[in-house]
Amino acid sequence: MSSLLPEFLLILTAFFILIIDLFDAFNSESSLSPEFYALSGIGFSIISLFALWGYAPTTYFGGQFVVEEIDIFFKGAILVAGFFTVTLLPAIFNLKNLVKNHYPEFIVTLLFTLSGMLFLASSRDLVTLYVSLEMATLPLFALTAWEKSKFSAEGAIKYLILGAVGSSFLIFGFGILYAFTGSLSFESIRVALAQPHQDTLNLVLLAVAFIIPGLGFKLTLFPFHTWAPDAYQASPTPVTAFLSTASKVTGLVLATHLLLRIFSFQLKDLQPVMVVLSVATMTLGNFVAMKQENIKRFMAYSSISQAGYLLLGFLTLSPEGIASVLFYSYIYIFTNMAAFAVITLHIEQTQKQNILSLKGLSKTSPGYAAVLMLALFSLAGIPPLSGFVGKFFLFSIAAKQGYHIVVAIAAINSTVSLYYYLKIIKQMYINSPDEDTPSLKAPLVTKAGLILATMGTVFIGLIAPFYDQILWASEQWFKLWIK
Amino acid sequence: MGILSLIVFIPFLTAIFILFAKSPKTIKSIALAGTGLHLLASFVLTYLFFNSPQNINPDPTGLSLQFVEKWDWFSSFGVSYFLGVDGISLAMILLTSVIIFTGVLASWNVENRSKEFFALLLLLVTGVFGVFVSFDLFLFFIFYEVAVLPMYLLIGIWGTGPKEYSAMKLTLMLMLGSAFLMVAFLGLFHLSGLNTFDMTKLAQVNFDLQTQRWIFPTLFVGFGILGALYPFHTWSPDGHASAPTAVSMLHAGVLMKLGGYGALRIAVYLLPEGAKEWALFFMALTTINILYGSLGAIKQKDLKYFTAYSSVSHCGMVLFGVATLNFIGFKGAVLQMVSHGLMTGLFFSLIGMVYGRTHTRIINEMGGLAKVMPWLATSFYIAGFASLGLPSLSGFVAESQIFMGGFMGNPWHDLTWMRVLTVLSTMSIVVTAVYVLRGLAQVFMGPITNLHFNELTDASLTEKVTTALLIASLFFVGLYPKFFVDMIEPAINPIINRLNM
Repeated sequence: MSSLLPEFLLILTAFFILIIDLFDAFNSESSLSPEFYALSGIGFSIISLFALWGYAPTTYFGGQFVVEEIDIFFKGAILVAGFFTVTLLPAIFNLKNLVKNHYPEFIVTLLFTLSGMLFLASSRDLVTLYVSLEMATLPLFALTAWEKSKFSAEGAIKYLILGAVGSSFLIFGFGILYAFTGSLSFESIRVALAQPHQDTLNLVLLAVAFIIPGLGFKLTLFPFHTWAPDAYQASPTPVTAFLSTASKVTGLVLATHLLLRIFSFQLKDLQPVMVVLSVATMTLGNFVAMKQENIKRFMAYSSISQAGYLLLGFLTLSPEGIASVLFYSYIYIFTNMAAFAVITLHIEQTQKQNILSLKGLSKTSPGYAAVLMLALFSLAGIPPLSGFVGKFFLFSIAAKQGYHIVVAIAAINSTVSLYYYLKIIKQMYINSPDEDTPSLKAPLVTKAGLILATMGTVFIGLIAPFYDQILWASEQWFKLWIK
Repeated sequence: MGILSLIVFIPFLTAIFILFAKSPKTIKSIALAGTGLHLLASFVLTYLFFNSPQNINPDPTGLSLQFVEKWDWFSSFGVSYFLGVDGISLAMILLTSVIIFTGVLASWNVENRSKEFFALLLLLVTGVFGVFVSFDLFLFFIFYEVAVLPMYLLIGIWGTGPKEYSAMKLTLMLMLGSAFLMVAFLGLFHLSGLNTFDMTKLAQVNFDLQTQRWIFPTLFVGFGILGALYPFHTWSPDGHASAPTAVSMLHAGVLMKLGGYGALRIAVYLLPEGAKEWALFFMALTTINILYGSLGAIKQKDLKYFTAYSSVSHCGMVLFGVATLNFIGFKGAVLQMVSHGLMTGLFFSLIGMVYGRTHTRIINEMGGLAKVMPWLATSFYIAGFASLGLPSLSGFVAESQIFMGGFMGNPWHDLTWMRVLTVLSTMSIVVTAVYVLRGLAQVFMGPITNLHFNELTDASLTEKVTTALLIASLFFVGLYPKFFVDMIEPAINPIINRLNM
């Protein structure tokens, strides 16, 4: 059962923390803080995950749970995002008042979400997929509302309702697929869809018509993105970071399952739809981001536009496509986490969420300003930072399919995005700070996470062997599945 | 690690060292030592280049690159770390080394956040050197953007006037240009069917006409934005006027040359058929460039705007030379890049020095300054003469070649049209004489208009070294053009051969 170990370790850690909390042990002087347990749990989970390398592919429960090389990379991305999120937590939770903030429960909820996401990556039939998707998203609603203010409740409710709507779209589509094919497993549905009858073609179309919006909700594609800015703003900042990284990767996992594992024969016909969704999403995200004054809402729209770029990777049924999506996911996680580490510290210590409040950061805290600048440039796709390489590969997928106009729109969109990223950099570097602005301080764990994320932002895109491994993993998968 | 990697990364390492330096004085010394070392390295490179066997017996079919360094990078994606140098690159490297060295000298009095200033300046130059020696499109693109982006902070923090507006406008317009480049590069990559970004291999491919028709203008406009192609030049006057001295020097002197360099090296070389289709159109645009820039300069009241418009005109000549599609025109274009680089470098450094004393750049507020600062006035006049194309200075050599090229025409276009455009462009020489002589006379000749000017001093030692170095280079190119011509000609041959194929 070693293939289940990564998920198992997360759940074990969660229960372990719950038990310690039960005895009120976190409040004693000698106790290690909860994030220590969570970080080691996630760390061991990552190790056990990559220990599976070489044993893949393995199959459990009659093909409902499969670990392939490509899944290892997807799960790795989710776990890395989870790891960085936990490093942000000490910055917002007051250590002297752990119980009042329900810090241990917070971490436990986060770990449950993570394990749901891991299960999602390995699921190979519709029921497992749906259950693990709910397991991944339900705890997130609670995390969003953690601050228990009116405002956070509003955001969480919006997220809950729209998330439920998205899920119901999905489950309805799944129902039609099941009715049509009589099967729940991805592979047999895919084969059954290979040559649909003329009179059942409409049914397939109907299923697609429900599943694409469902996917759109999870992946924040236009016009299903509306929950994101509110939920991002309402959440505690580390949760915002988690939503924009781990949650996004989960959306990509879902897209991989649905578009490549189920609708692989329909992908060619779906291309125009995806191109329109992708272009609309990146353009809307960018143009609305320009107008934002709140940092979190701003990051929400920025991450919406990133989802638009990511969708380009699904235009092709080839290993390069999924490899570039995965490669960009890793880059995006490191970059976004570096940005969010600084944003978390800033929001927590100044209690201001306004972009204007970042003014003069380069004078008060030069190191943190430099990190945020690097991260924003990477998000804008400026070489030699990682974000550029990732974007270049994604755009290349669209160019390969002959969509040169789409590449042009995406590239111009990158320029537009540079405008609003530069506006933040202008606040930090050109404007002067208020007189009594103190410099930012970070707990040790957060600082270590921040340094790690920054290293990733700068270097991970330049490491060719890393991309080659991902490409190799995708090729293995394609050898197995798409003949 | 070969000599070319050294050429690219000496400025970068210098920037790293600067980050660890403490006092402003050490920072400046490190910057000066680094760029001085770099100047030396590029002289060594030139010496080795002329004495290498490849230069004596060049391979007529390929680019005949020297000092090639090639390592696979993203091998599945056809990306390699591929550096090489030919005559055109070498000329540009020499130019850039001189400009950055004098640029560091010219910013000797930057006190505000000098650490960041010099680090960014050197980072920018790393990008510039990288562009000139990389022969892999992916690598080229990386360096290209590294050369463009630090400009935002350099202008935004240390600039003057409406600096935030200018910095944003400049950055966004140039990034729009690189968005075009990215589309074109990806198009070349996929349509070649070779799965490679290697320029020497892409140059073996005969892209079909349909492809060439859209990729060539995309590339030419992409590079043209940086080369101040009309109507995409509008970032340039604002940007140059707001930038601090060294940044104006680098930007007008070197960075705008990336546009001309890319248009010649990538657009024309890789897509000869597209070039034949579009050349006349772009020739017409650059004619507007040349005339518009010089006429615009007449009306300017600010010395920096004045030089910036003159740059638009002179950089138009570079692109004009590229659009002539003949040997002499190309040669003139490369020479003009060198010549204009040195000349604008001198102009902007002098403007910085004068502004540092008078605290005004408005032409009408100055007068009779030659009496108090004879050295600066003489230098200014020499720069002016170079820009109006006085023989014995570099401008003459370059411009005469460009216009000769335009007048001689090429086999693919109507000779009458080309000659009409060339004659129209040559008129700019007269206009240039008008604005240069009138402007300089107002600033330096006549009686001193403001009593406070009497207390001003002439150039200090560093300033004298800066200007003397640039003036010497101007004379060197003007009096002994053979040095650069011998360097450039073998590198132009492959481009011409591909056009004639």
